[in-house]
Amino acid sequence: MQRIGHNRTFSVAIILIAAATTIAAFSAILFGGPAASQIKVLLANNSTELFVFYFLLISTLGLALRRRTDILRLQTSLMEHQAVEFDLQDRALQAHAIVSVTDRDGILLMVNENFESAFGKTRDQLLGMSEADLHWDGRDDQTFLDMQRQLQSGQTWTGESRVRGADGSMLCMQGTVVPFHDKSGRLIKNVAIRTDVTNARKAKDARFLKTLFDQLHDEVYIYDVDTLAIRYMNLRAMDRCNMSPETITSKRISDCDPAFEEGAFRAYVAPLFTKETESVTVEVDQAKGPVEVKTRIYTADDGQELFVSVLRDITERKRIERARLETVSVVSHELRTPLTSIKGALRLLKSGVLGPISDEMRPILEIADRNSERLLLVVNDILDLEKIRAGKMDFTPKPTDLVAFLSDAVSMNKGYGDEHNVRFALETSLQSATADINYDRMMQVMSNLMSNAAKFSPTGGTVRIGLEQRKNRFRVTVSDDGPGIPESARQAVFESFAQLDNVDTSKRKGTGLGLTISKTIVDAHRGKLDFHSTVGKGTTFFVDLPISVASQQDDTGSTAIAAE
Amino acid sequence: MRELCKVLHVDDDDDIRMIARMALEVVGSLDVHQCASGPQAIADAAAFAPDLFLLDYMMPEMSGEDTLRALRKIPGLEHVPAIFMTARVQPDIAKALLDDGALAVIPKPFDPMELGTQLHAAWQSQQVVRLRA
Repeated sequence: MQRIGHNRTFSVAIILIAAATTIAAFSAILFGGPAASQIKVLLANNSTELFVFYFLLISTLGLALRRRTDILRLQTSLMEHQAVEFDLQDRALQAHAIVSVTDRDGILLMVNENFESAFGKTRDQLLGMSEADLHWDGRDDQTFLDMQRQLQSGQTWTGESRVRGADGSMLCMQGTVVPFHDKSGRLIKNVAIRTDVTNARKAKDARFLKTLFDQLHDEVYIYDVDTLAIRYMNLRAMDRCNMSPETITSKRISDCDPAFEEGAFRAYVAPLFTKETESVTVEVDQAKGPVEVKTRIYTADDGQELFVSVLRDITERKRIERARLETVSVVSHELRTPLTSIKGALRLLKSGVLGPISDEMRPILEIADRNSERLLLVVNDILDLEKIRAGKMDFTPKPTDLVAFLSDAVSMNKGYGDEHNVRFALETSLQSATADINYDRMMQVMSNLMSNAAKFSPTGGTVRIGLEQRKNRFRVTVSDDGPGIPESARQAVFESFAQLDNVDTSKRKGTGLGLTISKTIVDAHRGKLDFHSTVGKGTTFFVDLPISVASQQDDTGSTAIAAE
Repeated sequence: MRELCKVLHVDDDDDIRMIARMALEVVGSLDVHQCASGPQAIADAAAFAPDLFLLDYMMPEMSGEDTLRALRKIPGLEHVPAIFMTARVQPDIAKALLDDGALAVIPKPFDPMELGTQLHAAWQSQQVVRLRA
């Protein structure tokens, strides 16, 4: 550019000198003066020199003209070159960036192909649309509002914005928007150039998370649901398995635990796929100590399903649990020993083997006996609850026919019903219903629900035991015609030592722990214990239990047996 | 088949010994000798020559299990069957005791009106096993 400028100055100077010389010569001849006579003499006396003078003059003018043409040609060529360069730059920009032009209100006037693909819409759909609608929070998007404000004031905006991408997912855009104003300073349009930095942002987040995960005391394992190939392990996890970031990607989760059995693992995680539960937890005794592993499914952005297992060292927790159980066991012993003497003494007195009991003494003895019995029940219940909490209660389930099970429950609790002059009736249309339950533990739940129902039933009444199928669950119901439980008491019902005020105190009191224990047992069966009640009409407690996996697979078989 | 007559009862709790004595002597019509500790039982056992040991599981100084081991070393008492009583009803403890040859494990509190019957029943089942063998 500087050279062109220089050449132009040079040629203009030559033209000016030539023109000035000619004008000077002619004006001298025409208007006379001291130079005129000299020129005239020169012209008259020296025609050869005059010729040379004009020849030089014309040559100079010709050269200047030629020079000027060359320069013009050069300028044209340079402009053509610039146009090509600009076109290249534009193509690079269009290929790299997401480009759009909007009017002063943010209505799209032009979009490039990248823009179309980023937002998953065609040009026809986009043009005329407000850019606000593409932002994550729509017209209320704070970034969009701030940007518009800045552009209206004539300033270029640069920053990051969150927009809704083609598949509805959030994209992070880094962009610059330049406002164009007319001569009067009115905003006419905005040109926006954006780049999708979602992946870079994610990588940054991933780096942050990696650092964070490596600080964790727990071990984190992320692996493919199908191949079980490891995708990620945090520092603690790699330490346990003697692995490095370079080696983990070629390993499977089974390489982390010599005792890993894929069949057992698949059965254990099955409830995650049926959406029955969000996470499954198992305690494992490993060589380095007891651990708890919680596994859930995580669906990555690309739709890939991954297992995320968090492994926690529970050595300390187990030690505390053992100590706690030991304490409970000792306390229970210390309470049972004096109770043995009290109950034994009362029983011997009441029996009359030690001598006759007067009619005045008998009710007093009854009070002492009843209350020592109640104290014993509380001690037993506390021990049960502590056993459950310490994980010492045996819940091993077996496929059990609930119809037979409930029939057993009715006969086993008949004595209690008789005591309260209440009848238990099993009412179900099902022939068989197999659920995976621990017979003894669930019988404990039934005894609790049935004794509660009997306690609240009017004398001579009937407590109905029901069983029905609801999709993939069985519902066991225990219904009474008692006073009902007000909605305000719902929360308190399952709390420890809860007793409702309106219980007929002449009937035997419970320990207040029965429903807490029952709920814990039902929870351990992946079931649900709850109730419906209408004050003045009665209460129905229900237990929902998952249908046995074994019976679902063998559905036709069990129907055939039932038909026989 | 020989009847159960003599029971050696060991329990560190005075009151429980009193209740058990009445339960076994008055209700169960058994000949009972009672000791408050393992060492005392070891000292008295040979002279009493019991048919059955009834032992408290948890005792200070010497546990019921240790007492039984020591009693079984006494000449003539090697095959005397034992029943444990325990206020710690932990299934694993009861199972271990039964696996070790105890005839029965009776939880405390026990019913004094039933204790004699329970002992007779356990004794008889053991006699049946012995006869069959």
